[in-house]
Amino acid sequence: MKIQQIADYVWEIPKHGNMRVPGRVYASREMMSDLQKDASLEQVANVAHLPGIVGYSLAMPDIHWGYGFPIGGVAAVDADEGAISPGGVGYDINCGVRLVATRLVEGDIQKRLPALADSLFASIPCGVGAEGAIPKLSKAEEKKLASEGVRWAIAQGYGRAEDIEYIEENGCLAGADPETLTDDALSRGLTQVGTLGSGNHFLEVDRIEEIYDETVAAALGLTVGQIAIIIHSGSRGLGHQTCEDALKVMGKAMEKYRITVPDRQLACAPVSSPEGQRYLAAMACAANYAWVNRQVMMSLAEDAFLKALQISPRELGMRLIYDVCHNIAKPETHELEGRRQKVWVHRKGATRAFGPGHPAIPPLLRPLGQPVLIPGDMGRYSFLLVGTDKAMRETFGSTCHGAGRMMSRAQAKKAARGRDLDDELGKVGVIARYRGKGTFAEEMPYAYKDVADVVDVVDCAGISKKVAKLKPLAVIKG
Amino acid sequence: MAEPHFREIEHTADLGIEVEADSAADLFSCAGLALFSLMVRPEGVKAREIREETVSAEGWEALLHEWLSRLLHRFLQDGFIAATITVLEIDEAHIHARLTGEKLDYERHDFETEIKAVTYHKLLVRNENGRWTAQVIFDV
Repeated sequence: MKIQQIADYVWEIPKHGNMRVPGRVYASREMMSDLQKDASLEQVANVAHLPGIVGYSLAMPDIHWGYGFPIGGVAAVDADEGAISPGGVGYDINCGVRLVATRLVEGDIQKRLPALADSLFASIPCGVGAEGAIPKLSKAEEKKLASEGVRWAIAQGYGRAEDIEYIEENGCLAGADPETLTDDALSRGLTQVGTLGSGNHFLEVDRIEEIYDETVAAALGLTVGQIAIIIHSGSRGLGHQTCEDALKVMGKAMEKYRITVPDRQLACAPVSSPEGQRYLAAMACAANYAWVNRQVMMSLAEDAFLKALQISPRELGMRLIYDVCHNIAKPETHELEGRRQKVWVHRKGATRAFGPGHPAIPPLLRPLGQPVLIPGDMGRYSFLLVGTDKAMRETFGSTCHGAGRMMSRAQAKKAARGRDLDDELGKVGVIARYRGKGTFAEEMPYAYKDVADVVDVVDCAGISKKVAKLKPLAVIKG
Repeated sequence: MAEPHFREIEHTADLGIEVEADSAADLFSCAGLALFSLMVRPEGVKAREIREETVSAEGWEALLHEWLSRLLHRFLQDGFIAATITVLEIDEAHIHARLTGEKLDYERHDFETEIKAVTYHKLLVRNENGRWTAQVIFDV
């Protein structure tokens, strides 16, 4: 495949075959040479076949081989003429991350850290089949949750009204219609609200280790040494089922609308078609479910902190900094060739990173740019960034979402044989609590790329700006 | 006759299987057990309960997708892991099978990887001169 370097960290895949737009990849030279070893770049080119795609088929520096869409892919399609692809959102609809600050510093929790980890692990159900974080819902109540999003959670007593402002879309994606969810999707969602799940999902207690942008950090009320919490999870079974249901429908709809794509997993339907509209209404429900899930977990984590540390909510001072999604499609307006255009932006393993002044950013943070959270592996660090004007111009206001794996799961497990993983993490100052040994081995830091490399590329390319680095102290996993 | 068998497709971000068997029945049974074995180590999974499953679809690939999705649901929803799968009836449009197995118990079973979904990506079922092969990629 032909690839041209456009700028220091930007590479172009020129239009060829039936591509409707060129591809653009944000990566370092080393990353680019790695990428040429697998089918990731071919997938960037495949996405460029989507009807109505505008600008470029984009890939962020954490791009890796997915199915249909690459992970780390961004594709904007015209809101009237374009096609929406459930595969461009992914199975875990609104998988995302939230960052929560506290008033504590490391000294306040150091001695009680194991007890705190136990308390968090006991309060937040993890792993496969995890359920029962909150009482089982009725289907009617679940539908209400799916329509209202985080407002529902707040009304139930999970978190505070002011949290809403610091969640993308205020924790409720417009257009959600729970009647579009299948019975299977609803059944899978009944008992999973407030559960972490498995795989790369986690809840972490972190210390702010380094600050790169004092002005932004101060405005967010963050200082070195402060204790924060990161929650990474999604829409659980309800979201997976919604994606699966839609892929089936879209597979058939493609014939009807005479759409051909190079991979069945890219199945799509026109945004304006009944199939497209139905998916978007169901996807919004799943997105709302995911926000509620993270909101409830934040509230359960607060209780766990209070119990383990025997302090008051005031002393703990939990405050939501921001909540981002990294598997989603959103209706947005972007400037293309000097013209404002309504588009649907698919972000699959990519994060929205709106620049300063955007009306979607809460007023207090608006001059700074939108906060962006990039989780790393559980042994090293995670990053807080903000969006930039350049992201608005070049990437539909998007940036990376994480580290990306370096080893296959089987390799990671092989590498774990005969090693004491708890001890290894302990040596880098991390306490871990987990359900499945196999999953834990797959998730060890050595199985992941260094997230700092990914973050450096988006920072150097100017599509987001580093604000702070967080170091994990305790992690709970499925 | 060769025993039906599967091979794990190794890739950094994905998990998949290639299955080979002498009949469609063996192929589907082997693919089902392969799915469970990626999630939970098969050693120690006991035949404590019996279940029957019937799945319909149009064509072998769609049928394999539906079949594995059904088994995955049973695991994600009820924690059910199969120890044996006996295919009672199978054709290009439906499969009827009897499963024995038990519920996941974190104390006794080695849980490996949570699979979220069965994808259509590079999904293949082939029958060449009576030799059945399949390829499936999972979302993890």
